[in-house]
Amino acid sequence: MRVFRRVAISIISILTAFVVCAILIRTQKSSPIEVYRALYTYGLGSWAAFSSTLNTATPLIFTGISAAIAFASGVVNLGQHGQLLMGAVTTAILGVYLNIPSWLGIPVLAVVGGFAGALWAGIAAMLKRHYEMDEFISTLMLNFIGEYFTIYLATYPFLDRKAYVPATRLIKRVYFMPDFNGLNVAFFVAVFVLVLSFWYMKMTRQGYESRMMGYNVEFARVGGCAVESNSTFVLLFTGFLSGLAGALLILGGTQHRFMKGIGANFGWDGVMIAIIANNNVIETFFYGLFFGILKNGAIGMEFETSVPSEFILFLEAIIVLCVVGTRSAIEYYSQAIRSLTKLRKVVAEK
Amino acid sequence: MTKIYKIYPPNVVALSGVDLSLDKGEIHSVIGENGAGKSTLMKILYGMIKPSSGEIMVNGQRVQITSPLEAIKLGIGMVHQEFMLIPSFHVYENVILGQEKSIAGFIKKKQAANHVQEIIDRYGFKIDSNKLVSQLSVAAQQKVEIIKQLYRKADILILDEPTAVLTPQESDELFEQIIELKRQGKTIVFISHKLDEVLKISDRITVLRKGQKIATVENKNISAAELAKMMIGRPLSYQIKKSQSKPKREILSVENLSVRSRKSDKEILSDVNIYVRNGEVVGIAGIEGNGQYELVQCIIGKIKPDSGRIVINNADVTALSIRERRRIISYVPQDRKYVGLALKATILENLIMTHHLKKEFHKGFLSLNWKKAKSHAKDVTKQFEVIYRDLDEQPMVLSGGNQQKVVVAREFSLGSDLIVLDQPTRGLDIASTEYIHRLILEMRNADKGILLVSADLDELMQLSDRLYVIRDGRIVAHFDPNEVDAHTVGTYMLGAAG
Repeated sequence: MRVFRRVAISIISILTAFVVCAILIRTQKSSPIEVYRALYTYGLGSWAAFSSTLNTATPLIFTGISAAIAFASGVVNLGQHGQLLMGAVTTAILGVYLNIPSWLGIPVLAVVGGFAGALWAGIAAMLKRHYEMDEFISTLMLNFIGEYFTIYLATYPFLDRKAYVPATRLIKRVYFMPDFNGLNVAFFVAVFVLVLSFWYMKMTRQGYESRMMGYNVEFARVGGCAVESNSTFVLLFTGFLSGLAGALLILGGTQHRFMKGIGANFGWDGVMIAIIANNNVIETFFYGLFFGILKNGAIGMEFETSVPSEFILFLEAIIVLCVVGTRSAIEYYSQAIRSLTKLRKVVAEK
Repeated sequence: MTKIYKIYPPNVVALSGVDLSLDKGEIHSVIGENGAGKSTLMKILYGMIKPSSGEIMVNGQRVQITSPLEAIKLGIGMVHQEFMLIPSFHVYENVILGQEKSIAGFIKKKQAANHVQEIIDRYGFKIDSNKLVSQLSVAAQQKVEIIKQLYRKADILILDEPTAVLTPQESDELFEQIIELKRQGKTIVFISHKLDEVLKISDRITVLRKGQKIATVENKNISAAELAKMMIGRPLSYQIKKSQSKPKREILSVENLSVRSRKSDKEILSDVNIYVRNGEVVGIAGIEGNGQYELVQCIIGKIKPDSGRIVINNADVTALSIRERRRIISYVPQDRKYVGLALKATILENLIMTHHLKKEFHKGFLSLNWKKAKSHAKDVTKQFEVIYRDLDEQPMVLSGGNQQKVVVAREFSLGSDLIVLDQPTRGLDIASTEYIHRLILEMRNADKGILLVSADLDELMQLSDRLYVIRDGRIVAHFDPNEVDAHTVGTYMLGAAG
């Protein structure tokens, strides 16, 4: 029943968002039907489109799950962006110099990238643990440091002199992550991470404690949960996931090198996805896929119609507002209706 | 007020067709159990919440009271259970706040203070309007609240459970004050669930039960037993019988415990020594804010004491974390909504907290045994008579009594030798209170050691085998409750004794 309700709310709000956007497209003298058809064709319409959508969605799923686990545990990790970049730059640099066989190198590089992200989040974890510094502010600030630190690395010590923009050298070809029919292995890693995260949150004792901390930290503390060490673990783990997203972007993506702007908006999109998914890991995965469709379809839409791809950012924002708004509206009105019928009943009984 | 209905969304019926009429210059008591709708009715009269239907007439005029401001204009004032005063302001500043008279934005402080003092003297209060509120006792702060309403020219004064925070002596003084107010033509609405007080001062009494008005009676030839029957729908069978306790060994001992506040550098607890033995209930009496909360926090490990030791079952636990201590302590916190429960988690998840540390709830290296968790939840909800629809629901939908039963079920089923109870029955209806009292005695008879902190002196007198009185962070007395009466304990709470 709960699941059904949540799916229904999501569908209703997404449809509402599409209708609102259709009206806006109309006022700009374009055809909404054409726009949506293009979105569909290039986002889902064929295997090529679909596999490309899944590849686009992969980093979003990582950062989304990272944010969802953190928020659900009452840990405000907003540092996905910086953690992702640190993971990416570490993997990119090691990928140039490391000299081991492919079957070993790819997992090692991925995991090392993940640890780089965890280490970056670990700074915030340490500040929180020893100086009670709010991770909200420290992870946020580490984003900026991470951003410019990685650009520095790509601009000076590890600059590829042949590149036109600040970028590191291409990683060794043996470390390119394989794909099946266009679908990169990174996506399967994302599915594995989804299963692992779901298991951690729902089944393990530590996951239970973490969720209770998210609901009510005083309750958890007094109940005997290891609040401090769980918070540290969650920060490190979610940092790892973001770092892994960065590593896979280098190993699996299209560029295979670290360049300025590679992090795009993955970090913040992940935070946004986690929020609309109500910090639920499974929902985060599906919203990640959905935003992947939009991002991927946007390229085709720009190609076929006169609507620019920036329009998708607009559509995303409308969807976020619609989901969150619909959720509270349904809650509010269903309660109002129920209390009104109850009032009628009570008065009639008198 | 006629035919007042109030439904709290989604479907909680708080009031169902309640009528209430107030005559000028009377003391009208509204009584009922917790959850009977007293507070809701008063909040409607004071414009704090909107009724679902019904009408209100003041002096023959139909009115819509949409905000407290509106209520004040109509001469209706309310003194809440929680005071709304600014401690660092003077008495007169608190009184005039929101209604200050100013010239070009400047307040004539002297004039205001004099004006407030005039009101204080006219109604016979003994308070200096130039004192800081933080220097006043709780009882005096309550008077400031009343003066505040008088300054706003309230003719109808609603006092919401004013004696809940007072000692017996302070209550008596308040009653004299109330009668004085009545003599000067004010109408007083007195909310309470303490029947003896109601009988002492009211002219008329309205009884509410489960959101319905049962009756309005004149305070003549009516007994407490009759009122109680109207209030709970059946005669009060409330008699606690217990055998003499036969303690053999010490379960908890607190030795020379001191805690200094980091902020004010004041001693919150100084040199506290108490002990709890098996098979006895040990009460801690005291006016709220005298250190009993901090004492409990020290015992469960949330506050690290500056000096002293805490020994449980002959093991020094002073250096242990909350997690380690909770394996040997059952603890019912005073605030069930914010500490006792996670209202947004499921009932099941609430019931297994702390139990999840135990081996039998483990599965494999990391996992929680959810099957065991479910069977445990089913067992304890049955054993402790928790009424719920589905274990996957949130405790938010349960009534206060059932919420507390969830907490108690969880804690009492832990099986620890030491049970620490901080205000276990605060805000509960009579039936639930009675039930929890019975459980406490059952635990006592099962040879547990129980530490009971409560603001309800009657509860302490009835349940405790021994009673400590705490004042200003010091244990000032240690009684056998059979040998003293509530008034004597009250004197120690106030610090008026020798």
